[in-house]
Amino acid sequence: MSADYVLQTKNLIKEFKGFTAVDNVNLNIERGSIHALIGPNGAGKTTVFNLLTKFLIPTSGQILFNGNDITNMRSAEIARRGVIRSFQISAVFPHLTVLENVRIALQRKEGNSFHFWKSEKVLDRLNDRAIELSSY
Amino acid sequence: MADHANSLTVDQPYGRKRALEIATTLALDPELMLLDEPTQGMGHEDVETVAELIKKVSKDRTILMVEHNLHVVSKLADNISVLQRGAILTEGDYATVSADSRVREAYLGVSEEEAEA
Repeated sequence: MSADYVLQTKNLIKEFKGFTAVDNVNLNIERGSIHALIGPNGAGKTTVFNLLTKFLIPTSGQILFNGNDITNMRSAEIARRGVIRSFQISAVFPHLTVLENVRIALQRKEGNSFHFWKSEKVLDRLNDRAIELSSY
Repeated sequence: MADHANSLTVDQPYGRKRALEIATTLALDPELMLLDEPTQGMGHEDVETVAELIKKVSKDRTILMVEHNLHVVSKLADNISVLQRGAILTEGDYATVSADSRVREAYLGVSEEEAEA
């Protein structure tokens, strides 16, 4: 029985106009682990990251999530499957409170992002979790 | 509730904003969470706080992170892939990769022999 991998890449290659930024990378990310990608500047870490998060399309190779080929899926599709990249600071609303920002993210998960006309009571259902996350 | 929860995000210190970035990601309950240099540009204290947070939230999920700070990597990572010129140079736990002379060479840009010369 092989190890349990959440994410794998198979012979992943990314070329930019003849320059090979990612050269035949095979990654195996074990379920439940913290896996770090390191390397000196220009080693290709960010390119690999952008391939995994679908910000870039590989020249060749495969990306597997739970054994399923997600190479040609868009970032929104893989997000729905549970592969989520941390949002940049620019993606939070600076003039909302910390709690409000977390609550918006929770609403996104619940699929009612635009149900802002619903009663406060409905939205407050999310508050306990929002308060917990805001404590970070 | 934490004191800062009802404060405007814009008024939060940098480390707190980065922690909020992780919190809003967690709100989506990811099975696999991808973090791009989560401690970049932080002072020592914030680095420790965010490293603790990542450790805490890693329970029941998988985290893949690009990270420059080797102290954070040594503290958090179960597995490490070292990239050089687009290819994987070596992989393993911190003890394994940090003992690899090729890794030191890649980081320092000189071979051991040259460094000793």
